[in-house]
Amino acid sequence: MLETRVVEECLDGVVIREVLFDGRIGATFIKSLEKLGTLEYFPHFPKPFFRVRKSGKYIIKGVEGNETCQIFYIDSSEEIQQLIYRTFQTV
Amino acid sequence: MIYFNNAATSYPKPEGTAAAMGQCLALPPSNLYREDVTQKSVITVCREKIAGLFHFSDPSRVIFCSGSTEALNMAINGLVRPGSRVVTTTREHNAVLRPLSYLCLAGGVHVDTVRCPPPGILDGRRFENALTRETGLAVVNHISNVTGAEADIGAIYSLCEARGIPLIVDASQSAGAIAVDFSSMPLAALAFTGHKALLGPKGVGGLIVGRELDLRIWKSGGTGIRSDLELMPDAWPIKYEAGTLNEPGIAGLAHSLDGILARGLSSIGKQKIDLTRHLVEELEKFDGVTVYSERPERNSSGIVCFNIDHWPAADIGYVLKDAFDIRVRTGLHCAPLMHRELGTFPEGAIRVSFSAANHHGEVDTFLQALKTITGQT
Repeated sequence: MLETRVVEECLDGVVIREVLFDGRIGATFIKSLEKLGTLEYFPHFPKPFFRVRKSGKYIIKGVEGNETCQIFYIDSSEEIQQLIYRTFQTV
Repeated sequence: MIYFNNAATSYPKPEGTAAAMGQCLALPPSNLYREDVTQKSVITVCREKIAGLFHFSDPSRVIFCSGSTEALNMAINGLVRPGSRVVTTTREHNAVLRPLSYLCLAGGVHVDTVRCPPPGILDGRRFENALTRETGLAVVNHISNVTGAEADIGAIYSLCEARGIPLIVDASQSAGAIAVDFSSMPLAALAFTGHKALLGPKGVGGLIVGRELDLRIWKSGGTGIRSDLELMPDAWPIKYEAGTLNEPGIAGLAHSLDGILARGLSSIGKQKIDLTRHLVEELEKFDGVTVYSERPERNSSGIVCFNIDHWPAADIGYVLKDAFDIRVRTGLHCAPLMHRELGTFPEGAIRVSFSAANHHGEVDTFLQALKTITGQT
């Protein structure tokens, strides 16, 4: 993981961060995100899409082959952010 | 890439628009107000074209600025009377709502907001009921940027005129989409932007001010002429155009206007209605799709707003962009009160907005993408 930046969206009360990785997102990485919540994976899209939901906490979404994904924080506490970043770095 | 976000910014621009801007940049800079009488500047030419587009007889009352937001700030702050009431609607964009909120915060102005039920219907009787003896200004959106619903501006103007109330029309979505006849509205100001249906570049737009209206100066500064004066020169349009105009942008807009005028608004509108009808008819065959926008036959601006059960609008926008290379706009579209009316606040909705450059094949590709996403075949 290289860096994160805040994404401005037309949404109320949600903090969105985009995460830039040092490589392309692969199927193994996506599978590992099961640790963070309910994983949905759509391999039949032209570029496979994934979404991880943790109720009341966050939604992570991205596309296989991209170098970035987005995290929608419903709870943007430091604890939650660190949990996600730690998981990303161990994959 | 399929681009369906034309209500935000139109793309692609007409052939030659970029070249017109480049040509302007390549020429030595000139001073608009010290114009050579034998050769009109591109700014004057564009002013005349804009006046022509809106059937307005006095090009000197076409004020250029950066776009609708600046134009609306200029109009609202230039016309509002301290201690008065301002009537507006739930259809409005934040370019209207936020300046009015600041006036309320500063004190001395009260805003009455007329409810507009789905798909954003501005009922004349409801609007009339909101007008009181204290009403000093009305601000109304011509076409909703969320649903494409059109307000009957002629009727709204008549209600205001009968009471001597100035009316500001936000024509951000209607300019270049439908015919707007401004010739018989001396008590109105109309804000437009160049980068949407007028097919021009970002950073250029303006305000047309009715011949019986005089705005308080909201922005002052250098004009390049009459530098001896303490205040702005008392002449149109210069007294409202302090600072440096976006000449390359205006040159691009002038070129884009030629294409619109050559093709005709009616032909452009018919194409958007056709695309809208095709999209809505097919969307209604989906399970779990709710369409919020104006009916296709009344939707010349080509704006279709909808949601899909179990798929947040933001996710659809993300997937369409990153997995299918299709651009739409999701969220609240800077119109939070309209989304409250639709019951889509705070998540918002998916908005598809067409330009005349779009075609049926793109709509079919888009529909196929939605089928793939939702698992409906």
